[in-house]
Amino acid sequence: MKRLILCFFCFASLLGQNIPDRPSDIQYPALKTQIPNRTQNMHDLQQAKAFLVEDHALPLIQINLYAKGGGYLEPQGKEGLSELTATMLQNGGTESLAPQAFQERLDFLSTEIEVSISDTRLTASLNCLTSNLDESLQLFFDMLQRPRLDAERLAIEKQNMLEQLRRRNDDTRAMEPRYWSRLLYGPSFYSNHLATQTSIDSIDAASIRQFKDQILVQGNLVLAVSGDITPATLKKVMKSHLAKFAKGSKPADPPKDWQMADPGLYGVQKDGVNQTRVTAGYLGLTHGNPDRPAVDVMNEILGGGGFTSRITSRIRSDEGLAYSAGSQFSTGFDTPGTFRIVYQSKNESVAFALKIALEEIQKIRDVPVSEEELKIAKEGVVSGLLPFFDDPASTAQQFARAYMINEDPEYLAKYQESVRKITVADVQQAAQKYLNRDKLIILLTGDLAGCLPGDGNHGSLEEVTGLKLERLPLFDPLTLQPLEPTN
Amino acid sequence: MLKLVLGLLCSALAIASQDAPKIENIAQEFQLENGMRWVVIRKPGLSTISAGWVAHVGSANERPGITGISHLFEHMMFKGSDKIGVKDAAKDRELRQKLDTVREEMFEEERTMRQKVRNGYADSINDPALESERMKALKTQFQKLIEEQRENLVKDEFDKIYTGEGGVRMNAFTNEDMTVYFISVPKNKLELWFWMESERLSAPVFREFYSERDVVYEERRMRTDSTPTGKQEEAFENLFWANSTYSWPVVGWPSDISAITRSQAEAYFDIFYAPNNLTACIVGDVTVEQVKAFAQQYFNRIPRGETAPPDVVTLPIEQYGVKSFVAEVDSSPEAEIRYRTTAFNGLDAPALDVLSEILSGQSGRLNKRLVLDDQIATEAGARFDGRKYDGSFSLFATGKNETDPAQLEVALHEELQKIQKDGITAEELTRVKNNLQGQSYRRMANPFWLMVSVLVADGYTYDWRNIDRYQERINQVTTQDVRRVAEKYLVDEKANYKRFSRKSDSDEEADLANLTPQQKEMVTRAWGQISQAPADKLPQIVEQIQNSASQAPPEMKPALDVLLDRINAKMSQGGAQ
Repeated sequence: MKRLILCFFCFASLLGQNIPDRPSDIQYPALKTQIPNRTQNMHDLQQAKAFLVEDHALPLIQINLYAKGGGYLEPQGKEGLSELTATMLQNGGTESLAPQAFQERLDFLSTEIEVSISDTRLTASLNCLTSNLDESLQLFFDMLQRPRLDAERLAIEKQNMLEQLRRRNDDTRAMEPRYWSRLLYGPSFYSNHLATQTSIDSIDAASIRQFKDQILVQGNLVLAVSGDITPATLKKVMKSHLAKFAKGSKPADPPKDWQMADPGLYGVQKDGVNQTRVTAGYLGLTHGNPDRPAVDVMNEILGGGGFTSRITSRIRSDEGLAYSAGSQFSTGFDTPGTFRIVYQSKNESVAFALKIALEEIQKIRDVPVSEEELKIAKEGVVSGLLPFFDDPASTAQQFARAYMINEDPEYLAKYQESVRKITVADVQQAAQKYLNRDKLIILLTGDLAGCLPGDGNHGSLEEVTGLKLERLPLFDPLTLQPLEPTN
Repeated sequence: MLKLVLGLLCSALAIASQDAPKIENIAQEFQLENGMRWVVIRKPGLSTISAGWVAHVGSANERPGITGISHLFEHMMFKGSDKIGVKDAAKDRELRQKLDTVREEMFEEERTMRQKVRNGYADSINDPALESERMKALKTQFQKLIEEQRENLVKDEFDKIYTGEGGVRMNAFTNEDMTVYFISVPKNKLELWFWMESERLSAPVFREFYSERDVVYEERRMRTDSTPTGKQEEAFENLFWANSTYSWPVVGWPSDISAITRSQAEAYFDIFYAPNNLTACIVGDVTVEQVKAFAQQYFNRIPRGETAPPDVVTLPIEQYGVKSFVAEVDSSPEAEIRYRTTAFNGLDAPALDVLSEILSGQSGRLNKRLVLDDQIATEAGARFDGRKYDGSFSLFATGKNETDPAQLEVALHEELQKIQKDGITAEELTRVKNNLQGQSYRRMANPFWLMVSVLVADGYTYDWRNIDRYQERINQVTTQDVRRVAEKYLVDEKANYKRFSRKSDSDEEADLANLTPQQKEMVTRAWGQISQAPADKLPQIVEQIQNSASQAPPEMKPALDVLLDRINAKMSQGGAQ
């Protein structure tokens, strides 16, 4: 037996010699991947366009219904209406079923229904077993077309929403995005019209009904469907339901009156935390910008590519100043996207980490990136799309959203091609055009007094940035009236 | 009515009569001579492969003094090998040796410093005032070596190789019972995955071993210290798990994280990262033959561990009395009642799971009682947390601002008693079973999450097939079972109570301290409107309040006084500007 084992190890070590010395020595089989074609997956259901990606491996169907419209349509004084509308559609019952009975029926069928309304889009989603499709669809469209908006439930949901408001200043993770959006788009922009106690008090069932009827009209609907369903079945089961939506005109486009704050160093105080959150950036790209491939590759190198990227590598792995640190450069459709550097660090090392981030912004402008970095970044950007298209639901949803913003059906294929052609010079040009440390809006959410002096070795916060800290007030969570800035 | 009932029964049957979907039907397993197990799930047509492996080790395998070592390991596993992540491997070895030697001496110095902290000379071992001249010199020397080491690194090369070949979603997680590593690669790069994973398992190098602690501390600050309830949650966990090895956090106690030595780490690796303690799972357009050939080529070189991983021998002690944890938090009030139960694969686990489902969710009993009927909470639910060696069952609720956590506790407890007394209905049970059956399909829909689910099930039970079996066991649960487990485990004398109330926050609110909840509510609401009024309207408002005060019920008088004080304060502020 012993000999046998010895023999086995000889054999294993022989095999071991078959192991290439470095990963670069491995020969890979060729791989041809193709991004699925949007136009081929589109079906005209008369009242709505539908994008269907079939997958019959499991008896499950996923349907997302999208409609243009959202927070920007809230009447003045009724801030919070879109959120409450989504909640009440989902939880407020239907004409034929009281709220509790509706929910119990869904659980019984193992059907999942969700509604959400963002600043600019309504999404209603349905996930059910194939065997329950008919009844699930009936419940889904009853909810959207014949909601009960139960009065007792509405009172409870309004109370619960007030409770959510009361928590506004509890957690820096929730505070940071609110302040960031305010600085980026300005307090009077629709994204920053936030609910108050008074605005919630003023919302009733009639205003909810009016709001959803304005959005859910024929011609304003796009469907993303995936799973165990054929185009013929889809057409058949959807027809009568879709016809019951009222005819109407699409809501107007969202306003474009954002106003970015001046560059500067802003801070909001949260007592008793030993780590401060930092976001630094400004408005980014608008959809259709031809520089996007170059900017994406540049950002991948700067801070978007995880451990491989420079900001993450220096702030996290070199200096141990943060658990997560990096940069994002997003593209927006209704508003410009954002460029931002994001990290969280213990208060005393916030300044040092910021110093590093600012150095990296300067460096990628001044010094060409290496060919090796470029190659890795390009592969990272292109491959990031692959797993996405392995998931039928993600694919269908991507098609629907792209259609809603009139994106060229060939966009992603062309995008991949352009990314592959990006050069070192393109990256530097993109950096010089789109990165500017003097234009940064820097926002600190945490213990400001703890951040200001720095760590004693790398300069104070104001020395690092050359800026004077402007303290932003806390806002009363219910009225949103500013409270005195604290020190 | 009869028709409706029949209708309900029919559709119940419709779901129950379908066979539970089984991962076993699409998966194949094999084992290497060194003990490593492999699960392959073929999904034709995918352009990426989701791949990962689980090490059957987590914080429950630790002991005081090295808490957090499993999680620290997870970080270290991305640092490379002799071939990956370094320019000159020989120099790297030499530097690591030197670093260890200096660090050993620093540990000796820290022994004295630690005792000084215990004796009250300082609050923290990091207080520079505690450092001897020797320690200062060592620190300088240490820092110099770190810099030399950094010069010799190829930073994050492990990550760069994967990214450059199209690997995405590379990450890992550690919990009490397991450590799981995963990634997606393009389907033609399967061999790369084998190269990289066998490399880091056969020849890992714990580079940046000391500096990585700082990242872990930042992770701790982010997840625990700087969140509204993180520190208090940690303390409750600690109280609840008493003698168990679940009593410390996965991230480790802060004192321990910095004190872990490299030799402790290497010993830990040799035992727990040996192939006989690992299971891998690969989901994608691959055949089991392909995977087997690569597994033999790349993983046979890793020998079986010399020592079998030791069992966790500590069994739960009896809880002789009720435990309570009361704290103030920077958040809404919360209450939880928690009991020790049974492990993940325990005989009663399915019935406890069903019980938690009946209490939870929009249609669950706790939401109905606390959120909809009593309206004292914004959310309420229950959870069965079955782990490898033990388990717990919790009922919990988040209260409205003015709710006393004790009120939440009473309501949670009453709902539990109803089940203990009257059981659950057949209709509730069917609803839960149907719902869970649907979930078992959903779990299989996404290849990446399917891979993670297989590894997690294997991590808890050493047999991923228990995912399939679990659903079958759920389908066999009866209403009597649910009532029985509620009576058996959730007993008053062994309850653990958590009560969080909101920290009385700003000075502005201090004037509300002596008011009743109704009075507070009235002041808050009125003030919400008054504070938005323009300054010149304030005198008029004062007049109105004074007029109405004479007609108001006497119990509202204190509330009106507070309002008047606030308006006066606001007016005098305005005058000063």
